[in-house]
Amino acid sequence: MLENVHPGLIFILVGFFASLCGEKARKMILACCPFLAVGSMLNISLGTDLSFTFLSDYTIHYLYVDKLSWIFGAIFCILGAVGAIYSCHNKSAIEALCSMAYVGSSVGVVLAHDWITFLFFWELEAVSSVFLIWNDPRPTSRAAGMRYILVHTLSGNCVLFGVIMKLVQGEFIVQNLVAGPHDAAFWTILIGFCINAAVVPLHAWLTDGYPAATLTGSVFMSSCTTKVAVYALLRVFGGTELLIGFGVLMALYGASYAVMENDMIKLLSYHIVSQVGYMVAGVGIGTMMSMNGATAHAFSHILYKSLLFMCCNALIYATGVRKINELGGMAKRYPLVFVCFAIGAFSISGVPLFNGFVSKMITVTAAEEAHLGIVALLLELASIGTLLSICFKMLYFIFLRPDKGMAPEKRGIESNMSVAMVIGAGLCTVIGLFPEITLYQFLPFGPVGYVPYTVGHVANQVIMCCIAVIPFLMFLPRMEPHTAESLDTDWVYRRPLKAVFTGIACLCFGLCRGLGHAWGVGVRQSMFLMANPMQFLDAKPFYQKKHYSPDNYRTSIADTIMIILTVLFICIFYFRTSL
Amino acid sequence: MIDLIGDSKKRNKVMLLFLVLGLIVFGIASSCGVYESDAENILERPGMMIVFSFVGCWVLIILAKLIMTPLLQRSENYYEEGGDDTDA
Repeated sequence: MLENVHPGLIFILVGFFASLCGEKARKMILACCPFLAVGSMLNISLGTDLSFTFLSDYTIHYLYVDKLSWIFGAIFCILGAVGAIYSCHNKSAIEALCSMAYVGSSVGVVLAHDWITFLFFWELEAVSSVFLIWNDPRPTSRAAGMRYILVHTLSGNCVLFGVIMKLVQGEFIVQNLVAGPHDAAFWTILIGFCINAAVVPLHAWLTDGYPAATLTGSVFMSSCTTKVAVYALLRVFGGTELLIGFGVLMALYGASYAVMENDMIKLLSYHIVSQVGYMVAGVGIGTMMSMNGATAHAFSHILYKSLLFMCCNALIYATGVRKINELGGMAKRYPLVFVCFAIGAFSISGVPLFNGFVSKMITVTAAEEAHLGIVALLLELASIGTLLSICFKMLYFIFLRPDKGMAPEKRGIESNMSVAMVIGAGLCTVIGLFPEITLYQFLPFGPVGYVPYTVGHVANQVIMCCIAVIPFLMFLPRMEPHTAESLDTDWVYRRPLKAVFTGIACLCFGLCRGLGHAWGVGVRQSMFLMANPMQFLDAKPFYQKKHYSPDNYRTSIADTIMIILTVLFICIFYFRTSL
Repeated sequence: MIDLIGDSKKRNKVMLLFLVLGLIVFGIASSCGVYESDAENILERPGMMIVFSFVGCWVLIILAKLIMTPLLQRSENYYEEGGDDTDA
């Protein structure tokens, strides 16, 4: 029944109907209907290519499924379904619409095969996601959302510029551009993708925007935008060596900032930058194994990162506290959240038996096999950073240390949130235990060529976990984070460039206001003149009479001319086509 | 709940526990012939993973807590003082 129905469209329709319904019906729709999209995605056979003709000579391929788009589409649909369960207690109708449209547009990008469909969903994704930030009532969210949409407008415009050039060159299909030509289109599309992938130094929108989003919205945001960009990089820029260095930089940069951070969501956001670094490096290496590694890690990352966001947001929902230095003893108060968070933390840290272990090391091994030893070593160092900030720091300071009494319970965690967390934790574990049947067989770039459960791989990972905890414990008394603002690359446009932007804005505002005023006066006077052309003959100044006068109510001759011209054009068009 | 900050003896015991566990796993892996002294990957040479994990973790702690924190962290209201987030 669901064969060849666009799963992205199902999400958008679910969001639309959910936003129109009352609270109870919305809850039911959000809890159940996204699974239709999952069913539809799993039902689509490889090689499907649905299209229609647009403007007589352009074919819109809105549903194209190959192995790469299928695996990304499937994981986005699963995330959408789990995220919808997590957020179905939400009272906001607009958030239901935007979150579903956001997931739907992410699926739309992945299933698009031509540049126009790709660009349409790319822009829809940016527009729908910004409302997940603006829907948060905190005053800082409005400014953060504005910065977020401006950066994404820049990204969209870069891609648009490149796409227009590609269309002019006669290239309509989204395909690998690495073979060349390395023209302006190549670079602008690459920059647009890199902005959305949060490649350092273009990443600040992520760590600025995600902590400002709503508690349920950030669960979707943690998984969609950057992974859609990773998909786009895999599809279009696989093998671009420039990306290797940026990937390594991202992995280390995100991990280092995460060690400093105090805000739970901001810390996790920096870890998105770090983890996407592995994927970007994998894209840059460009071998079958590294590209499979990037795909597998994106798949795992979506699951464990959304799980970590769900757990932290559940704590914030229950206590209203988002700062690590104000929390403690949460394992005793919220044991389910603790277990789920621990599974997410073990997954992201690459602990054996969980999904991060079976995906992260593929890229590292691919770097070794490509004789990029230093890249492999630096990615391993970033792994230690992940262990340090999530597995040790967050687990200890939030859950295991004695309660500081600064986070009293405001309300209980909703049952739908618990269900979603359990599903997420279950998926992370099942994929970690059975990678061959749940993940490896679906990887798009040939046989994966990596066996995770060997004595060497397991031993090295366990040794890393056991030994890295020692410096953490030695430094523990000084390890607690403090409430502070960490300066990042967004400082450039939030401080020094702010005066420039404000000056330009004031100038534009003044100019527009002056021109608008002059235009308004001109229109009013000319309309009066057009209605009363005899005034041209009068030497008197033009004015409208205050008492009743037919002069004030005559129809303008401009209207008559407009009607005549419209009829004329319709007649010409009709007779031209009929002849 | 575990207070490892105030109770240094307990902290030392936990450190010792993890060290012993790491060494046991290393011993088992060595006996299985996992490590080779002339392996191309430096982390597959005997004991290198232990050294790398210990030194690597210290490098990150020093970088983040002792260099980046004083250099890059400002008061919580740093941007609000400039009026950036108060326009709502």
